[in-house]
Amino acid sequence: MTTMTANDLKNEQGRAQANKVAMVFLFVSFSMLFATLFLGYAVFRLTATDWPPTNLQALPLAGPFVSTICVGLSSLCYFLSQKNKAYSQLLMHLSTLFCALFLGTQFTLWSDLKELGIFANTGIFGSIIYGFTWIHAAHMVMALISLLWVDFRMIFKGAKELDTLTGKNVGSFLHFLGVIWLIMFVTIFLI
Amino acid sequence: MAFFEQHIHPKPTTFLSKYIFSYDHKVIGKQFLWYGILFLLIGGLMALMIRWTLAYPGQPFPMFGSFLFPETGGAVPPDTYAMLFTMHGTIMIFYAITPILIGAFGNFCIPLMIGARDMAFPLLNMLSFHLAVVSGLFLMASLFTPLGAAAGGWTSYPTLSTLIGSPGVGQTLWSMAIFVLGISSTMGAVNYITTIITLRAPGMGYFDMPLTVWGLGLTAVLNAIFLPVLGAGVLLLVFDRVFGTTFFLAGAAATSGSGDPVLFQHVFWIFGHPEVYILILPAWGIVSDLLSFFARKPAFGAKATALSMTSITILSTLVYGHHMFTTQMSPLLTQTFMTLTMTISIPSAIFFANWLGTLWKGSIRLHSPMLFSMGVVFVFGLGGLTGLYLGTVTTDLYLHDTYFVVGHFHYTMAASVLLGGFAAIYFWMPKMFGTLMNEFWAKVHFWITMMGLNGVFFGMMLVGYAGMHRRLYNPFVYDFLEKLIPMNMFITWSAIIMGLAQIIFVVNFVHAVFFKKEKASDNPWEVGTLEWEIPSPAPHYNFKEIPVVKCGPHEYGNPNLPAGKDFQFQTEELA
Repeated sequence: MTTMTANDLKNEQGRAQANKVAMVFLFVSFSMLFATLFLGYAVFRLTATDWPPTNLQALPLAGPFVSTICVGLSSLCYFLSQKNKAYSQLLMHLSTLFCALFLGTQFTLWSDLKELGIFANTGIFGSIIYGFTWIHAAHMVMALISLLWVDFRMIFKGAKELDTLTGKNVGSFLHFLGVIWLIMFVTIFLI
Repeated sequence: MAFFEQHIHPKPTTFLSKYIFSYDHKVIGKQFLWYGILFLLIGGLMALMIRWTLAYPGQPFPMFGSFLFPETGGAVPPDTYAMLFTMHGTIMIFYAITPILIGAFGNFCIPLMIGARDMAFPLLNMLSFHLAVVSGLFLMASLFTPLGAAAGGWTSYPTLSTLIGSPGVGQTLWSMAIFVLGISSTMGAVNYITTIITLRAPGMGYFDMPLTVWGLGLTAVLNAIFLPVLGAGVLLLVFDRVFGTTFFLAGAAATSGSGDPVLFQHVFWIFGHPEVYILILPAWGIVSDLLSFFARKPAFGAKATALSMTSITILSTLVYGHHMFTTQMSPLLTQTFMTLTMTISIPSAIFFANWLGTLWKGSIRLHSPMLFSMGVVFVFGLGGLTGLYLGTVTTDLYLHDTYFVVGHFHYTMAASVLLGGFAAIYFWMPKMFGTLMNEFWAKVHFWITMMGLNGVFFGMMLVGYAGMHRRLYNPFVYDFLEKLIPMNMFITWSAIIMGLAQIIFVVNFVHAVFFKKEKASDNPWEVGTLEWEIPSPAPHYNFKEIPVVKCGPHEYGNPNLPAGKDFQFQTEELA
């Protein structure tokens, strides 16, 4: 069994610190991307005389609501798997599953929108809903790939994989995307 | 202070691991340098074609005009002219200046100057370069598409850049290239910031860092914050072009409910104005250091210079509206943006005065890096002062979209940054490649470049003040501009002279890198920063032992120094 020297410990803590700094700036970058989208949305929404435009139906709420539940549960399961080592494997599988389900519900949403006659080229209303959900979903695909990677490694390395820097970063990314979706759900679908 | 000590990686042995998939920040820096120089030549050639068209409208471009444009007998056609100025601007800003100043010298200098063995995330660093290559390929591929490359200007305003203005795939490739390059630069920025915060050598506080690192660090902060803004804009532009969304389409162009073309201008300039500082901050930092090194005295007000650069970084985020005074902005907003823009003059004046203070009564050594640095002081002074006219609403309304704007931003973004880049190349050449470039030819290169660029950019400001608009294929169809043809010929010949001077640089550079036998000493310029304490060229591990810093980077003239030595290494402690 190898023992950790004081220097090794310092280096490990240092790497964790570097990792935190990098993640902070990475999230600043991601936030700016989504903030720009929301800025555009705010401009269109606040200057529109009717929203949604008079010839279009109101958006379906059931699908986006299920999406919100899925992304929330995915985040929650990941969080709990980091806290509860005994069930971490099961919770991790659930987190990945809910993330995949979220993406499935997005496809359902796009299909529902088409049935309502709302397409990407249906003026700015359709552009915003499709554009925003596409960009968010693309990020969720990255999150799903990362979750599958962590999940796969956990099969061999167990719960300690969640304590690695990769494990922590994937969790942060998932929670971040959950928050972004929540903002989208409230601002685009609810109000 | 270093949070942790990086291991010494084994030396790469194969061609692929050494030159293509290298994790070494120095190799990645050199990759960015070659990449930037290649695009500099392409962008420069495009500039000569633009200038030729303005001096000799309708006449064949010399030498290879008939090969490139056989259908017009060698003359640049109007639609190609629009592509040329679009691609020239895009290439020079994103693919030449950015890779050289930020990619090459950011990568090369940051770890060496702060006493680290590599960047905090070497793999991310390598991927950043490879993504930049992918982006470059996208951009160059657009030149060979059926309707040609993007032609909506480097700003790519809708509706010029939507399917209505640019129906070909070239503009889509342009947008994708910029998006991919944005990801690459953001990866680099996160790496730079983390490296500077966590890997500084023990004893090195923020104010002990060379000003070069300050400039590069602040640039990285701006990149991390504002590149995603442009990323969002071009992504929506791609959606408009490919999927038929209508974010930037208005009126009849949008089928139901309108988008807003001006929204893209807001998004573009929220990024675009900080971009000016993204480009220039590294050059400011480099010049601030070099002036001190070659004046053989401490940088005057170094802390104030660092803080001024920080203030400018913050203020640069609040002034973008001055690019849009003519978009029917409310007077309240124009005056607010004007006031904020003028506020930037205060920190700019502080560090400019500090540069002069550094030179004052110095024992100036006029080596090539110093000549180029003093060139930056001159051209930035001129470029900065002419910016005041464009930041003021009343004068901007007259000068907007004229060649005065082109001359101004070339002085600040092109001349200053280019001269700063040359200063850096001549200065760090021994540490990068182990040789010095020929000083005589370096000085010849400087003087001809300096004369050429002033002829070009000052001339542009003159014709712009006389009312000549930018982006016109043949402005001389207007009677009032006909008299400006001789002036335009002078500008073009100045550009040709400036272009020819770069052959001197290329030959000197290639000779020094590949053919020069005589190796440079470890510290040929007698400078005290950390990279000059290690062998030339820098070994792959940088520092065998992580250095412990005892003083700042500009310690000159300490009376306790031994006789014959006027500088102090950062690891030296004197009584």
